[in-house]
Amino acid sequence: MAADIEIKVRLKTINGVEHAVPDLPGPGVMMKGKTVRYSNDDKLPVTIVFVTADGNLNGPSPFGEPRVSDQETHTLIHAGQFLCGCRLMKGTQTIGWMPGDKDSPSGGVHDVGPH
Amino acid sequence: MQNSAENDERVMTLVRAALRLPAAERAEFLRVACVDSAEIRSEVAGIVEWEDRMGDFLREPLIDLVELEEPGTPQPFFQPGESVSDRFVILREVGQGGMGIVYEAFDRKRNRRIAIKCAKAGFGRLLAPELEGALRVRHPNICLVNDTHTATTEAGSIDFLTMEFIEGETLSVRLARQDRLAAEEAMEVARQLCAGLAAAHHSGILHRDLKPTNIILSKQEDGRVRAVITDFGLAAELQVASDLDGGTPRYMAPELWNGEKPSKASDVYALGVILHEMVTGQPPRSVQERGNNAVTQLNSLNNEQDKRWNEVILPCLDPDPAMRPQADEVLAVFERQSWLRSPMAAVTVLALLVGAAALWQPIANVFKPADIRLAVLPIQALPDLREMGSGIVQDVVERIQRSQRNGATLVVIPPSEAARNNVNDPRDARIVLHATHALQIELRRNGDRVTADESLIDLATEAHLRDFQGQYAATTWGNIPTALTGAVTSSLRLRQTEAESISPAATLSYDRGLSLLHEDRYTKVEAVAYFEEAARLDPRSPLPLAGLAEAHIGNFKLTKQPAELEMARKAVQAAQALNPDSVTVRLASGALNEVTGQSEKALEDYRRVQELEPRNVEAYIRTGRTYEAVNMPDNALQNYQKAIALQPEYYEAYEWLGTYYYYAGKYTEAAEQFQKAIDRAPGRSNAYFNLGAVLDDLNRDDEAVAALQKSLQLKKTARALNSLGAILAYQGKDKEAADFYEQAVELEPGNYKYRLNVADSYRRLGRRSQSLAQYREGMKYVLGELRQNPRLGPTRAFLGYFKSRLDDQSGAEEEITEALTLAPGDSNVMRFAILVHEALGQRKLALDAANAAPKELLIELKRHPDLADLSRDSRYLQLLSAKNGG
Repeated sequence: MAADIEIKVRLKTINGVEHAVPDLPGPGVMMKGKTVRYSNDDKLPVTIVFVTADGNLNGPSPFGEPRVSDQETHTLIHAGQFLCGCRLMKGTQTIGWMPGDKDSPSGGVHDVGPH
Repeated sequence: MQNSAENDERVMTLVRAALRLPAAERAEFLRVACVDSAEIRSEVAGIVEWEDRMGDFLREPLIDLVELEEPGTPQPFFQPGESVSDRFVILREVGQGGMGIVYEAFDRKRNRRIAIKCAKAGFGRLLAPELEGALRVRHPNICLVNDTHTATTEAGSIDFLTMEFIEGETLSVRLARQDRLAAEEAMEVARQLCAGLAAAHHSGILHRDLKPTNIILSKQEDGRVRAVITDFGLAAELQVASDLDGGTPRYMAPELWNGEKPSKASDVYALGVILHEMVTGQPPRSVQERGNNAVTQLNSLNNEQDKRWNEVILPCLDPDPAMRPQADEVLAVFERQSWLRSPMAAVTVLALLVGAAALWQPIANVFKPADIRLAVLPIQALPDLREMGSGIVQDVVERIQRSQRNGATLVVIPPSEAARNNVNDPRDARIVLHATHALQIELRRNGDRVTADESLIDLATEAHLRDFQGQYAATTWGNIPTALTGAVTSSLRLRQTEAESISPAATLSYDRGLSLLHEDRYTKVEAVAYFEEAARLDPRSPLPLAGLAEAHIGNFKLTKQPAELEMARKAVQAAQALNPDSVTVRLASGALNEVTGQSEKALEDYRRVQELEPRNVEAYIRTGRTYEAVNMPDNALQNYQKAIALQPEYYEAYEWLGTYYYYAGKYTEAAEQFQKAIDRAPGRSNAYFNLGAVLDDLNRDDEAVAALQKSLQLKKTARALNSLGAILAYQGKDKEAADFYEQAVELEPGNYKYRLNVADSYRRLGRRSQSLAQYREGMKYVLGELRQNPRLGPTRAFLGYFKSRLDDQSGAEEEITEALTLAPGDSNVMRFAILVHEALGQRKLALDAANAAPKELLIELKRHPDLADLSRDSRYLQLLSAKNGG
């Protein structure tokens, strides 16, 4: 099922380290009630975790769930700014955000408007 | 005709020489040695036979012999696993000679394998000449004698030497196996032997018994051969007359047979014989015939290459000691080995040999452009610090110049050169001086302290490779050059040539601290005071501060108190200010980075240690540990295996490899490794604990209990008590189990694993409020640990379990999911995934988790008191059956 918003998560090497970098849309695109789907061009499995500003798990989530994947389409049910960490699975290796990471390129802010 | 006194001296020399040979070789030796006098030969043979019958009575002092033979006198042999002087762990006895015993040992202070040589009972005094000479010689081609020590044993005080441990085979073994060395290798070995001998002679030391059995051929890290001259047992200082006569007949110069004293020339003669044997596979003809005949040609010559060796070796074998070259003259020839290969150059070589060797310059490097041209800019400092600053910068320049760099050249442009060219900033250094890098140093006063700022700049990119800052009180001003140099060597990957040191006044406290640091996880608290004392006694050495950091880190692991980490951080920073590129400081910094989840930085620290000390086992063990933490098990395994390959008789790497297998769910392999650790260090409580814990998981209860009880006999520890509790709990005896768990918690209140276990037993016993209190308390410590290092997958699994027991279902699920992401192959994570899903009534998810687990874990969990229902589930049994191969 197609989603209103498609977010690509790309594998990028920055300063010699591989990251899972999301192409998050700017303000005014993501709105409460719209659906979102995450994907990777190389079909690597994607996980998005919503995190706190100090790099902990279980941060506030626009979907009401602390962790979503590329397996489903998700509906934005809360408005606001939500910090996320992104991960790609490359074989058995997890690439991207790790607990404790702050300001990691593997993540960003979901800026969700009320309408 | 020799007079009577000279004859007597010659006879005694020959007697001593003959007695050093195997009995079967003595007759032939005397035939050759006494070719000029049947009378002397007969006299010598008679004394030798009498000596044999009397058990070397004449050769050794009577009082020593009495001591040796006195019934009940214990032999001062060390035992494997024994800790000597709180510092050296005996690994094994390597061998015994007539007078001494050699052990392989591990030096906890320097984290490296060493050899210990001590005298057998009654022979103590015979080590003295060795010390006097060998301690003065420092050269890569001479077996390094570190120091002398005294240990107290049941037999009294024993003096012993600690020496570099060199793995390899002796030249004699090599020559026995392959007759002669290949040309290239012979050239390199010859060069190194000359270099070692020349260094000894420069220090006024004679070897006096140079021969192939005293030369070890080992391998350098890059695979090149390293020839090391060992055993200065017969060496003596040139200036000191000694009664010890030395020498092995085949390598003895002709003048020694006539009773003359050994000399540099007689060492060179022995060198000549050795080189001859290396190249031709045979001794020189003069040795075979034994006489004063000159050797005119090497044996078995058949090509131009061999003929050119004539020019090098024959002068060494000159019957007249005055005509032999000096060792460094021979070395100069080998340093120009490419010339030696050219027939045209042979004449030049010979000329060099007899005359101008000292003028040799490393021409090969003169025309090669430098890979790094480092411009050290004039210091920036106010007038009151300028003079001191100039001295510091000059010292830094000299230290960097002395540092080494593999495979690349380094040119240091001093500040005087920069000033002469009006170069004061990095840009001009690049344009005017063609520098690739620039170093800027600034000194400032900061109250009664001096602040040193240093920037190392890559001039191609203008990137600051390192910005270093250190603050120094008057007591540590002397460290500023070391620290500034360390920041440069670390960034440019140079090797400093200075050894790490600590003052004699602080050594005792430092060594005691180290001993406690390595004893086990419970003794690190005591280590802190010793390191603090050592740091007070020697404020200039970074070693006590690094030790202090390691002790605080160990305490944090035990107590989970954040204050311990803060103190560790301060200690590391203080140590780095003294020398940021010290091996010991990098290890401490790595440990701090490890425990705070900065794994990449930890790996950087440990890789640097491996660069500086390629045989540092601790660096490999810690690298393995860090790779485990970032879920790179293959890399972890490689590093543990490398550590074992470097020091197969040292227990610690086996313990870590066993732990690796344990957490991979490979219990049988883990037990095997733990047993190897016990075999190598049978006195360690921890080794038996590890074995007991894994035997428990293998459901070998009786053996597990025996191992754990042995562990408790050696030391009462919380972990052994906890494991005994776990065995009882698995047997359904929660009441008895709780007793053990409570003792464990009492000993280690900050350990959440023990709190989890006691809470589980209380829950099964129906003591709900006590159970919940323990779960809450345990979770508090888990959260504390995760605050310091949020990436710990297994710790998150514990958190998930606590949450599941405290009715936080979504939190429990989230933590288990995260734990499986962070450490998917960890058996503890898999165990808790199954337990959490089962506790939450999620049977399908529990089975999914079980599907990913190794069969050993499933077998173990069949007996888990909380999984009785799951283990009877037909799907679980099918899973187990499938993992067992159907």
